[in-house]
Amino acid sequence: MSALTPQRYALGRAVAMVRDRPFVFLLGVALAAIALALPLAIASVLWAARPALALIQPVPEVSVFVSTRATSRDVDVLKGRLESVPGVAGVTLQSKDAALAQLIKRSGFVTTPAELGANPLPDVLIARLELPASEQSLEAVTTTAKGWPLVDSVRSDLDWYRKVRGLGTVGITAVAVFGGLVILLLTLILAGTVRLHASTRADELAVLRLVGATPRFIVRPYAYSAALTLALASVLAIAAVFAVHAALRAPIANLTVLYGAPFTLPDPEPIQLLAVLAGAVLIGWVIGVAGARAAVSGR
Amino acid sequence: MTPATSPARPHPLVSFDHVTKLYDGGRAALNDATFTLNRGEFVLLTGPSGAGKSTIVRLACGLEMPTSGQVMVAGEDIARMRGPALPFLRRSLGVVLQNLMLLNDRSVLDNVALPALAAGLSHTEARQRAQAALARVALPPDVGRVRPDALSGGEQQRVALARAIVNRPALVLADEPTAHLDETGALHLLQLLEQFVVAGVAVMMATHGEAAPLPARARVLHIESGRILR
Repeated sequence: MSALTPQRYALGRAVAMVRDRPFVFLLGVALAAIALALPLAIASVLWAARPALALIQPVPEVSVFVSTRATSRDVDVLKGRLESVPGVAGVTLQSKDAALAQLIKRSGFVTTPAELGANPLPDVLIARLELPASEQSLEAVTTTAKGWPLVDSVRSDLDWYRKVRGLGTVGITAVAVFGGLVILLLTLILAGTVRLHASTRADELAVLRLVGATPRFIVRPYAYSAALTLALASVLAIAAVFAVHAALRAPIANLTVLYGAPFTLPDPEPIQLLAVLAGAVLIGWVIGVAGARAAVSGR
Repeated sequence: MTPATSPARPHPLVSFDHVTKLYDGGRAALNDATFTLNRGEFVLLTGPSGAGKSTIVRLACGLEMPTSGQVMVAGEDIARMRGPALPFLRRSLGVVLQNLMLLNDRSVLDNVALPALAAGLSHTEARQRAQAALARVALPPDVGRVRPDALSGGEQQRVALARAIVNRPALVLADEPTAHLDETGALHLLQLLEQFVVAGVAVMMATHGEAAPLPARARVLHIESGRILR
């Protein structure tokens, strides 16, 4: 007995299937490559954009505006109280002097703090919430801080947080739906190819049953064939991703210069390419087995 | 129920117990058939075309299931087999059907080696066994390299028989194996089957019985209109 024998036989039969019906095989490869190329290209661009996306990742914050009557000591006490509120990860003080300097710098007015007289701006304590933060915890911190003396007002970025979370949910749902459709498309392509191969090999299937081949032995060549199809399709899709990157690199470089943001579009790393290839082979194998079992059952 | 004191009797290799097989439209291909086949026995199924001989062969190898009654092979109820049990059983059978079912997309040697590969033997061992099986049915070694459709009907019949015996089965089921042979060829094939029987293999063969004299040592089951008459 040899464990390699069934594998060797299956691989040989898979190659024979490809050789006997090259058009069917190549059509399957081309369709699967098209189905894979778009999500891979989007995924690779998003992967490259991770640092930029991280900047807009919502970290819920609560801004506590301290009364202008408060002394530095009062501000320190309030900062300590805010830090001890459950759910608060950290507190930053945006001092009124720093805020004024920033305002003058941004506004472009040629003036000095001394010319303004008393600084009209308040000290602001900015509390960052622990992640993952709920809307309830954000409101709880807001309500707590509002009740403290020497606090003029409290504002949370709840609306912004809700909007970004909403957008994130839409994005995740869209990705899930899109991914599901791609998987469905790949399944239909591969199952159709397997079924076509099986229908032209009814004689072989009958002989295999007659001589005592197990269902696993019978479907394995189809699984190899489907895995081979998806492996080649993923290679083509990866090539398409490289082409997309090459086409986008210059326009993105121009755009980032205009925005002054250091964003580049690097090519996928070898480990990522291997993961895509391995995933494609695995998915192809699973779909091939399922498709072949469906195709050869009842014959 | 067998008394506890009596010695255990070996199961017959094949046992048909009141087996009926109905096809679509209610036509009875086999009607209340009861018989057994023991190890090392040669049973000939004779009768006119459409009598039900092929149905018995197909039932015995699990290609079809009985409508009623029980088909037991090697002590196992064919109808109750699940999962890989039936494929494993078929590995202990050698089957030659009327349609020889040789695959013309590969060599004779690969055809004959297929059951051995399906049984998990190594590629080398399967090919060695296939060569031996071809020699056993008196085909020259170079026949292994050609494709089945390049051979004569008689040679193809032998190739099918070689494929049936490559896994050294306990039972050979042959459906009209002499159909495509002249008298000499048929006689030679029957002699081969008799040699298997001498070696302890059971043989069940369906035949019109016209191509060659029936083997003297064979037990004959004559079938007409789905009924076993003797």
